[in-house]
Amino acid sequence: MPATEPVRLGRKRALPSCPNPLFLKWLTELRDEAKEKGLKIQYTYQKAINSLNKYPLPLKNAKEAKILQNFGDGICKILDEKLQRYYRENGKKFMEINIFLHTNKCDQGKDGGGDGGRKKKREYVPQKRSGGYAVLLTLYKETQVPGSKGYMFKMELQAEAQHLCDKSFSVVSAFTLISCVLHPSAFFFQHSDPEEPGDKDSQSCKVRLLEACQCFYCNLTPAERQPTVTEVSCNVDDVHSSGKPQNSQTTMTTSRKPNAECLLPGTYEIMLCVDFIETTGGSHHRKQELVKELQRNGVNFDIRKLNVGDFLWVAREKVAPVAGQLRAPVGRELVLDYIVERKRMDDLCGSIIDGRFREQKFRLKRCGLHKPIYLVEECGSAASHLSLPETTLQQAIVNTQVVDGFFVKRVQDVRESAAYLTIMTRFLTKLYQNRTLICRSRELEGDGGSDEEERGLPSCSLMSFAEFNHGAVKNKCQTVREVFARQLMQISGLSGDKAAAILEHYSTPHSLLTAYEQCTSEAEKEKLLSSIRYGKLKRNLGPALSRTVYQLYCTQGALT
Amino acid sequence: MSRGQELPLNGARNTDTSPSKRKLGKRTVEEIQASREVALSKREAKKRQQPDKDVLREERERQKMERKALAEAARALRPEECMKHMVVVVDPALLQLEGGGTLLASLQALGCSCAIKKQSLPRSVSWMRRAPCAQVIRHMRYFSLYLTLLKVKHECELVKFARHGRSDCGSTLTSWVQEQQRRHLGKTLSLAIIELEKYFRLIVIHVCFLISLQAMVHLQLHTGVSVCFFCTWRDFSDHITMTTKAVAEAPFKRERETTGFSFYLESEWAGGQRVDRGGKGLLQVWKRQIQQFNRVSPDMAAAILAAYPSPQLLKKAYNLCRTKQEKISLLSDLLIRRGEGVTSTTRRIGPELSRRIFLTMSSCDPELSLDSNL
Repeated sequence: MPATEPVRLGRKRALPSCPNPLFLKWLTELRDEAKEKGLKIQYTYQKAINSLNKYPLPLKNAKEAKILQNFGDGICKILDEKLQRYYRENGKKFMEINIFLHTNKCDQGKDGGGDGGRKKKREYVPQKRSGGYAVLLTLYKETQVPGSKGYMFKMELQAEAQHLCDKSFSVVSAFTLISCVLHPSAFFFQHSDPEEPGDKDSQSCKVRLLEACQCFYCNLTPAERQPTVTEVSCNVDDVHSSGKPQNSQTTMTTSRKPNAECLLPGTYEIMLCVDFIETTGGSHHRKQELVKELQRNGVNFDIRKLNVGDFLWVAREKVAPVAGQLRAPVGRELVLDYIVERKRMDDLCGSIIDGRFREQKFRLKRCGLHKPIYLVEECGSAASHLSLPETTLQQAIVNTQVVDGFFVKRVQDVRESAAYLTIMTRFLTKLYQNRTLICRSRELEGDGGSDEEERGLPSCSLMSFAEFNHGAVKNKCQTVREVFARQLMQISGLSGDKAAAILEHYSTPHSLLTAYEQCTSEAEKEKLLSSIRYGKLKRNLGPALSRTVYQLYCTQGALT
Repeated sequence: MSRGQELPLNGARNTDTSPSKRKLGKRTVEEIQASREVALSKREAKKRQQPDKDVLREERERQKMERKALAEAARALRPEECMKHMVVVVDPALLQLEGGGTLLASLQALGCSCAIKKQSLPRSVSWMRRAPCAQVIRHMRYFSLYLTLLKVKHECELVKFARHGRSDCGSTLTSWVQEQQRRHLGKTLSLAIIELEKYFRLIVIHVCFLISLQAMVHLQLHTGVSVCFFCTWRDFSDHITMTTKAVAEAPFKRERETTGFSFYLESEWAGGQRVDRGGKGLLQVWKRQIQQFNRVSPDMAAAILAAYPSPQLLKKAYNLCRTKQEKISLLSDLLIRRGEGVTSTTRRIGPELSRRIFLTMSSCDPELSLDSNL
């Protein structure tokens, strides 16, 4: 086809060679209409089109377009009306987009250097309908949406990209591919003939997509970023070697609902999840007794590894098994707001002594579930040979209720624990009988306000189990700030609020070290932190602590 | 009237009235007038400033008093002080029951104040905190907890209550509690049941037990209210005193936990390493700092410590490196000694930890994630 002729998809529209294809399309239509009727306004529309073609960024709405020359009130009003109608009709669907995946041979010269000449390294070009393809395409679409934030969260991406991919969208495998495409010349999306030199618009598209990829990448957890070699279905040869772009014309129409997956009443069941640690070990086999009791009571339960808590409940989608497959496909799972930490008196004693008690409660409070339950097994007379006095243990339990706000359930023994869990499961099942559940992403939407719900009404906006369990992992990825804070707190007397105050001024070790270097005298270094104010009372950190930190970070030789 | 002007009336004086002659050693009329005017205007300017100064001084005083009040309020929350400011309010009907005396005695032994007042919730105990000084009321959170005693003789009565409601108020346990919650919005409710017929519990009348368990789960799910069982009045009193202590210390403990950090410093690290004036102990601090990274054992920290016994020495070593790659892998080949003799092993620190440490020491971005693979 001739180099200047834009590609048509069999429908009359202007080629979206600019980041505002809809506006361009409509203006072109308006212009053509006016032209046919011989109206002078065609020239007005033409001028607007020319302006629009020069503008490289996506416009969020018609009002924004006013900044362009030749876009007056009249045109903007028309465009706005068309936009509203478009959204109404298409539910924010996308019009067809041409995606060209290119081997990048021509691009190098234009990029002016980079790696120059021939690239030895193989670029990554994903196969159509593969995981990487779906992910890239979805990110690209996101950057084209008016008003988008320019990147996506993992959960969003997973939801949106699934339909573009032929295989089941496994979280880790597809996402790892992103790490390959962050090389600046790995690929680019464009709308027009790549022979056209200096196509500013495709460059900006590329930049936006790369930014989206990078932001997306930063939001992945380390596990997800581990490259696994298997999924790179890289068929560079499929993309012809002639240097011409391959027309990968795909119709992408997705309705963009913000994660509005829901479970309708009747389509799910309430199931108890038992942490597998609760079922193993222990010389008295008491833990196995719990499971046996649950079985005897006919409770619907599942044993799995919970990163926090001992028991919780999920609403699991009922999925019919597929003929010919050994395992039924796994339905979606949403986790209910209740989480149980079971403690026998000897466990409680041990955990208070070694400090796990407070740490476990801290993690329970942060896990995203709003109704923690402390299930205490008071084994009666067995309490006499524990290392801590009974009153201490009882006070700890009362503190858990009053100070931490947990619901405390006291039982006599493991059989009562099982009975309690059984009744809870039955009642929860009843409570959620006729309720529609909506999947909420903590990452996207933050923690739901539990104060909003009345105490009686069960929450129906729930996190997915996967997100919950993943977020509760113990040794999460650390940031520089977090490590620095912990390091400062290794000095006796440097508590959390003092560390927080220091971090307000010097948020990284580098920042603090630089500040010391910039001091003009040792005395100045010694006093650097002493007037930092911390805490509610805004007290001074003081010269002593300031001096200790100075000694730590400025002593030239070895420390003692 | 200047002195010069008086003289012409009395001709006996031999002073000259001409102003020029008066200059020697003495000021002229005009000069005196001028200086008086200057003094007057200064005084007036000062007077004008005075209200500002007054205002400033008052403001400073006020701030000082506010700070003092805040400090006092904070002190009043500390564990050793907080009990003095607690008031436990007990319903007289509760005291009329057999265990009333025990309860009062336990509370008085605590060192808090006791008030006996008829409560809107029958047979209940509630808690209040006195603010040490009126100015800081807005900074204090009043913690109100109600613990009400359900008078039942044994579990079967509870069962009846749960299912059919009490005869006097005609509602089930849950709906009765919900009603109480509505009447006392913002308060946390808790139920206590004293069973005088202890043996019922031991026999575990299965059906009875199950039904009461159901009643309690129902109550939990619909109201969030918990129920405690006590065998004796002594136990009940002990529970009230423990609750009093918890309520008293709650604000202090909660304040302590709001550091704004998303991590919890495990007990292993809590408390910190003591350092004396000369800096002795800092080596241990540095070692502990290295262990704050995930997946760092004491042996690994010891290896790094041996090579770079201070942050400055490490920084200098980084500065000597020529490329960033060198800096990133500076520590990776350090040997770790583990174990003794025959079973000792040697491993390296490895590139991954080396990289994390470099990033932490050199990054300008506090939000940089250390486990990035980029």
